[in-house]
Amino acid sequence: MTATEFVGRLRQRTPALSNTRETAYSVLFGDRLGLTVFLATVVLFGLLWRTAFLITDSYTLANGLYSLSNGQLAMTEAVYSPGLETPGANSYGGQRFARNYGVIVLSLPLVFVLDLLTAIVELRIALVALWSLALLALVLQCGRYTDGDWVLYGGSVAVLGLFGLNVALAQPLDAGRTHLYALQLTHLLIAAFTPVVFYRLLSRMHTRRLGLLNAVVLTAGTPLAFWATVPKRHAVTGTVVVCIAYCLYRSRRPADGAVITQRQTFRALAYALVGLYAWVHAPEALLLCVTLALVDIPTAPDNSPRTLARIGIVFALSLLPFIVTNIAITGSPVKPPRLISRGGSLGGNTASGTGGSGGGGGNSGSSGSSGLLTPLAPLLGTLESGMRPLLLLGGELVSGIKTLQQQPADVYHAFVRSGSAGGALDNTGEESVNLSLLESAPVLIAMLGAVPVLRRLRLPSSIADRTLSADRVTDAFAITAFVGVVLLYASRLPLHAQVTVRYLFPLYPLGVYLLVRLPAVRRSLTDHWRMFLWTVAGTVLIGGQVAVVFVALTVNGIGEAFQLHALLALGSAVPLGIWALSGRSRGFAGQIGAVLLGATTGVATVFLLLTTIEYYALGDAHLLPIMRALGELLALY
Amino acid sequence: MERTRAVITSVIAIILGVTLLSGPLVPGVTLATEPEPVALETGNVTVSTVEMPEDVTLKKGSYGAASYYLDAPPVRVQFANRTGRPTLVYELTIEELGYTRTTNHFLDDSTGDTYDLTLASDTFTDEEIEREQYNGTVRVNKRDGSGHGVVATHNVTISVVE
Repeated sequence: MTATEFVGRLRQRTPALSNTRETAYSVLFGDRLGLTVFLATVVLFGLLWRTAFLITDSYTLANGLYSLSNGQLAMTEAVYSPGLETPGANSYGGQRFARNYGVIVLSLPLVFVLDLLTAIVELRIALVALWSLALLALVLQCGRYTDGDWVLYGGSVAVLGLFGLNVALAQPLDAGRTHLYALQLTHLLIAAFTPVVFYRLLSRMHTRRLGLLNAVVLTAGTPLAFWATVPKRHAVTGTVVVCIAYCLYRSRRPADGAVITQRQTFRALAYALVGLYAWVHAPEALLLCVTLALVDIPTAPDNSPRTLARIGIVFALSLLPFIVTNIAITGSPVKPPRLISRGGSLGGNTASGTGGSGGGGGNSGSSGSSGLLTPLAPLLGTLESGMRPLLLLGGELVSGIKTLQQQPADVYHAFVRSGSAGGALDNTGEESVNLSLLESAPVLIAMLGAVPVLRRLRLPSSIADRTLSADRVTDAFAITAFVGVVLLYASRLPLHAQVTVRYLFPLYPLGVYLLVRLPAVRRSLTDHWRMFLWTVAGTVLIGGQVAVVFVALTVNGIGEAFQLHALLALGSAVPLGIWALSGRSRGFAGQIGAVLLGATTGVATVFLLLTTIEYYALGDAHLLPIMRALGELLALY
Repeated sequence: MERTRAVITSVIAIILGVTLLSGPLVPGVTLATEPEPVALETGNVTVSTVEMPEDVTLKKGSYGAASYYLDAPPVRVQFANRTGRPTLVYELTIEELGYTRTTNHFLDDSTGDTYDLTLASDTFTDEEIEREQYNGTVRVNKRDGSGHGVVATHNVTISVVE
């Protein structure tokens, strides 16, 4: 009896096993296409994975994980950095502590798995094998959607060929750095769920095809893949935001799932996600919590004390890991390790980077919050300690509004054109490698399509019914969160060490969600999806080669290369913006829209690929030997 | 169906089998190998002619990049004799900026009779560049089996191009 026969028989005899499989499917991926999205994303992220530090902030996480894997909460040894004085590390009681404990704890089992693997096999080959198996699984899934077995046979040969090539080129992977790899793997897996949940949300809202197309826009058209393997909070934030939107949507629809049979459960789950995220980054979790409550409670069909109490209990439980960690480190439940030093201001806490100091923005942030605090202080009294985080957040948002009004040049540099944004470079004199939001993801300009929609919008004759439909609630959450993130960070941007304005990372999934909710974009994508996909492929395959030639001929350094990509992105964004403003999607206009959406997505992909292969190759530290070889082969300046 | 299943199973088996081969469980098989260390600065190199660059520039970054880029043309050398793995070094010094940059070139048997020594580009911030012209020195050094030495030295004018 072969192994497969054995598994087959086992499966026949125990329906429970196949039930478990089905349940795992539906909980994690929704359906088969969700699994395909997941596998494709993992394979892509694996290709771009470099086993090195992109940003010094990650030292803190790696050292923290090293200490925790040795049973120490405080950081004991600077295994991954010259010293323990790294961005984000905080002193308390004479000891240094890391940050983002949520992901550190999540990475802990992976450290043990990787350590185990190094004992039995060569780690490089093991990870290459895992990647090859993911690719094989992807081939299998794709094979199910095609007639005939040619995809499967051809794919299997390709997988074996790639595996062989990788093994032939392989060099040993430093087995002493498993903490870094574990952290990267955790972030990679979490990031891979951003497009999956995004697909699930949109396939429920509209069609599966539209869900799939937008998973492509999100993965290929935004810097998601760039940050996926970087141990920082950004990839996690993106996934959390999308998951909250998904739970909020499900909480307004009749429950039809196999596992969760009550709508309220989804509502509670949305809050639980926020609570868990506080364990990674408390200030952003606070913003998300306020946003969620602002959108959810006024629009919910049921706000009975019993329901709210249930949600409150779940939220409190989800905060437990955060609170326990805080008590263990600082002795106070609400003071996360990051809020101890630097005057307890949110501003100083959230701003950090490769250069160390957070720049001038942080100061204006804290002064804004204290300005807000002063008149209210006597009223609050003892409540202040509990309210303080909320007031700090309010102060941050107010200073964000002030920045938008008073420093339009800074806002322009952060959102539209980076170029020689002086303020971003003053700190370290580094090159022009900090792109604006639009330069990083030109497809977001399609959000301008909201203008014609709003102009045509007729307010309902009666707004007596405050209960919103599932679509509208999710839209409201996306818009509020979008504005919230912009305001939270507006006063600190532009800043060094951002690369693709990473502070604004949640805006990428939120923005792609919002633009696909515009009828013109949706219709254009649905009607001309083949054209869209062909344009993406053409831009990447042909435009990518043209870009390589251009960079090789005209560019002397990374700053120029980044700015070339920035101009290409803006150049492709302008026509898309005009198309979006026109608001037309019928016939020829729809085809143009699909092509422009595809071109902007493809331009971002080219930037993404060249960045990981060439500009930020990090000493050609690619996990996959074929990518390392490609990076070594390509020397553009 | 049976055939596809057999194909998948065998692909998985091959991948897992090769992975197991790579570890200490199967001694004597090394799949991932470090690149062999090469003995550098060996042999001998004698340069017959050197063509030094005349127009070294500091160019304002294109595409709106906020920096100046050092652009030094290559030094063309002709060998009278070259054996082993000697190293040639392109060195540029701008004393007024307190700046030196070197790029090493590792020669081996595949190197032809003439060779273009390049200098890797570098950047300067707007604040660092205050004048329209700087004086610099280009030097070619060699490192081979007989030790280190200067092959040629040449003074250049470095012009700032906006």
